[in-house]
Amino acid sequence: MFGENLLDGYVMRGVFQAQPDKLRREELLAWTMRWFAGHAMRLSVHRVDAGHSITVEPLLPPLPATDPVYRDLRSWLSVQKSEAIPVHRRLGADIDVKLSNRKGTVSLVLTSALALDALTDRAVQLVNGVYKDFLYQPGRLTWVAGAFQIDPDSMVFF
Amino acid sequence: MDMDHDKKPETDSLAGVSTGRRNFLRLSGTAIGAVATAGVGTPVFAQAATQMEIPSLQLAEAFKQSLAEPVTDPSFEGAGMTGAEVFAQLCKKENLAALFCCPGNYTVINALAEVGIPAFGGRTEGSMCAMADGFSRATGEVVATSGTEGPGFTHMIMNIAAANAARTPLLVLASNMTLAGEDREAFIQHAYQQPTTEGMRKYGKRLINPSRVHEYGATAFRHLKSGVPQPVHLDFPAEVARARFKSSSDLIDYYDKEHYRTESRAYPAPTDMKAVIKLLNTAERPLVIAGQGVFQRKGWDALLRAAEKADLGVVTSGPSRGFFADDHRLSLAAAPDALLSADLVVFIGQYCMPSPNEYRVPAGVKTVRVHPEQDDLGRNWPLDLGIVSDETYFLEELAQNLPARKRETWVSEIAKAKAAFQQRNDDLYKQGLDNSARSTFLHPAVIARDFQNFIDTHPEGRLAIATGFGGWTSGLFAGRFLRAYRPGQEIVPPYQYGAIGPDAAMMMGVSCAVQNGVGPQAGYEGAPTMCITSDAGISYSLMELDTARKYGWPTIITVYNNNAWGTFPQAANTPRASHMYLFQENIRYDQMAQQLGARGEVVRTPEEYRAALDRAYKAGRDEKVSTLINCLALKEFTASKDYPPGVSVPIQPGVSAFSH
Repeated sequence: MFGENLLDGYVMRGVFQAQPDKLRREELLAWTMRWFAGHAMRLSVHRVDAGHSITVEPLLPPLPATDPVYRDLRSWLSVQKSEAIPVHRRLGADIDVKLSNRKGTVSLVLTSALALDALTDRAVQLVNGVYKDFLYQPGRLTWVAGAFQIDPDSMVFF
Repeated sequence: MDMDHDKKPETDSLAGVSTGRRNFLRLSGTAIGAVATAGVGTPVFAQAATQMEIPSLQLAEAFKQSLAEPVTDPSFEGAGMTGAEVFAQLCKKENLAALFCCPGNYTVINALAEVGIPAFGGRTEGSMCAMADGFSRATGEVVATSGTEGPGFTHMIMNIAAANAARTPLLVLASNMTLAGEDREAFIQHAYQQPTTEGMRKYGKRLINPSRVHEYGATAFRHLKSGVPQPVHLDFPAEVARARFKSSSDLIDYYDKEHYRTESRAYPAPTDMKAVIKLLNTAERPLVIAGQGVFQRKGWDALLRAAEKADLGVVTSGPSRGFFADDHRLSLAAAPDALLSADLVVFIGQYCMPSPNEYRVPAGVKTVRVHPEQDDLGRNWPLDLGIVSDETYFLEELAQNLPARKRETWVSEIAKAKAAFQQRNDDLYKQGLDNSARSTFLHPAVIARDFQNFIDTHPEGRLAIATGFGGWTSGLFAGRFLRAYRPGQEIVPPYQYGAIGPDAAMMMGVSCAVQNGVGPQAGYEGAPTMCITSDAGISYSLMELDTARKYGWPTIITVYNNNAWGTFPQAANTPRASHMYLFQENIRYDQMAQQLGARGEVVRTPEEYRAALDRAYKAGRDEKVSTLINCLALKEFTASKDYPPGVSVPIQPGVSAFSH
C-alpha cells in the first residue's frame, strides 16, 4: 500500500516505535508512535488540494492554550521559518505549518506539495526539534518534569 | 612533590583579621569549673589547662618523616616476601599511579607505600575512593583505593559505582578478615565483598590461595589496562596478604607483564576505513563525537589532525573534558544548535552509549561507531557502520587517509551556533545579576559565569586551572558556563552515576594529579584546582580538606549554599514532605573549612565572590592552601516562578552534559 513503509526508516534507526493505526475519516495513512519519554503520539496523513498534510497529535502532554509554555512554543515554531535557522533545517515557504490547541491537546499540522516522504521527514525533524531544542531552553526543566511525570534526576528522553 | 606544610592559612576573611595559628581548644573558666565540680579533674589539672595552649592544625613530625622515608624493594631473600609485598611489587612494575585510602587492609596498603606507590591516607573511605576516581579522570591513569574490611569497604560503594559508570580504571582493594573465620562471624567486620560490587566492576576476585596472589594481581591489571576500563576489585584475606614466600617457585604464574598481558590492540580493517571515509566524503556536516576512549588512549593529537584536515565538527563526551578544546573553531561543545544539523555522526570511544533520543542530533541521522570491542557495537543506537578498532589507531588512520576538504558553510554554521549559545548564556547571566540584586543573594548563573570568567581572564589560569562541577542547581548552571581547553582540564564528577557529593573530593584527587604533574597535568604544577558544588554535596567531602591540606593539594571549592536539596521543588505540591528537603539556614561551611586547615570565606554579592576567588587563587598557588567559598543563595533560584528562568534540562553532548 502507498506510504505503508513511510516511517520504517526511523523505526529501524531507533527513533521511535510505530505501528499502523486504524484510519479515521478521510485519512490516507495513520500510525501510533511512542517517542520521547514514552509519550504516545499519532501521525496521520491526509490528501489535500495542495498535496498532503501531516498531523502529529498530541505533540506534548496536556498544555492549555493559556500556558506560557504554549505561547513560547508558538514563537519557537515561528522562528523555524526564519533566517535564524540554517537553510537546510529551515521550514521553507513550500511548507505551511500550523499549531492548534483543543482543550489542551496540541496538534502540529504540516501541509505541502512536497513528496510525502520529504514532508514526513520535515515533520519528524520538526517534532525532534520540539523535544531536543524547545524543551531544552533555559528554565524548562521543572515544566518538563511535571508534564511528563518524570523525576528530574531521571530526565531521559528515549 | 612540594610539601610546604609549615605555612598556615593566615587570613580569616570573615572577620577580616589575621588569625595565624589557631588555638581553637581553650577551656573556659566555666568549663573548668564544671569539670572540677564533677570531681573529674583536679585543681592542678585545671590550672594546667588554663595555661596550656593546644596548637591546632599542625602536621605531626611523624607525618613529615614518614613521607621522607626511602622506598624499599622487597625480595625473596632473608625473611622472604609477604603476599602483600608480592602484590605491591607487581603494582610497582605496572606503574600504578597512586593509592588513595583510609587505614585498614593494613598489610596491603603498607606494602604499596613501602615500594614507592604514591600513597595518600584520608578521613573517609568514600571520599578517598572519589579522589582516586578524580585523579584518574584527569589523567587516564590506573589508580587504587582501599578501605578497611567491611565498614570501610561498604563506605566506598557509592564512589565505586560512580567510577564504574565513568569507566575509570580503578583498582579497589580491601582486606576481608581471614579465611579461617569465614562463615563463623568471628570477631567483627565480616562482609561478603565480591557480591557487593557485582554490577559495578569489570572483574572481581576474593583471593583464596596464597600462591596465586601474583596470578590474580596480573589478572587485575590485564583487565584494568585492556579494552574498555572499569573498576577491578580484589579482596585479600589475611592468609593471603600475610603468607610468606622464600622463592618465586612458591608462586603460580610468576612472570612479567610482557607475558601476562599485551599492548596489542585492534587496528581498523582497510574495508572499514574505506567505508567510513566514503561516508565522510559525502557528508556536508559531519560530526565526530569523541568519547572517553579518545582521552583514555591519548588520541587527542590524532583527533585534532583528522578534524582539521577535513573540517569535521567535533564534540567530546564522557567524564573528562578538554581533549578537544571548547574554543576550537570546529568544536560544537558550546554550539548546541549546530548539533541538530549533523548529517553524519561518528562515535569514537563512546564507552557509555546513549539511546538516539538522548543526544541532540537529527532524528535517524546516519551513524558510525568506532569501539575497541565488537560486542558493544549496535547497543542502544542502531548503526550504519560499526568498526572494531583502538581509538587512537583509528584516528591516526583517519588523519592520514582522509582527503583534505574545506567545509566553509559547516564551519560558519558552527561559529554562528556558538555565538547564539554565548548570547543565551549572556542573557542568563544578566538575569542572574538581576536576581542577585533583587534578592541580595548569589544566583547560580552569576557564580558559574564569574567562576569561568575568572579562569578565562587570569594571566596564568586559563590553561592551568583544572575544574569540575557538581550539585543539582549549581551543577545545572555551572555546566553551561565551564569550559576546557586542554586534555584533563575539566572533569565531570556527577558523570553518568549522578552522585551528589563526591565532587569536591574528586577535585582534590585532580589537585593531587596537577601538583604532581601526572600525565596531561604535567606543566601545570602549582595551580590550584577549582570546583563548584552545593551545600548538599559538600557534606560528603568536607572532612577531606584536612587531607588536601596535609598533602598540599590546593582546591578552591565554591559552595552554592541554598539551604536545601536542589530538588526541593519536587515537594511543591506536598507541603508535609517539604521539611525533608530543607537544611538549617546559613550553615557556615566556611568556618568548618577553617577548622580543617583551609581558608574560608562567605560571600553574597558578585563583587565579593570575584574578590574571594582572587584571594583563594593566590593562597592556593603560593601557600598550597585550599579555600571554601560559602556563597549564600536562595533555594527559590531553582524554580522559575519567582526568579526566572530556573534550571534547564542539560544538553548532551556538550558542555553541560553529565551523562553518556
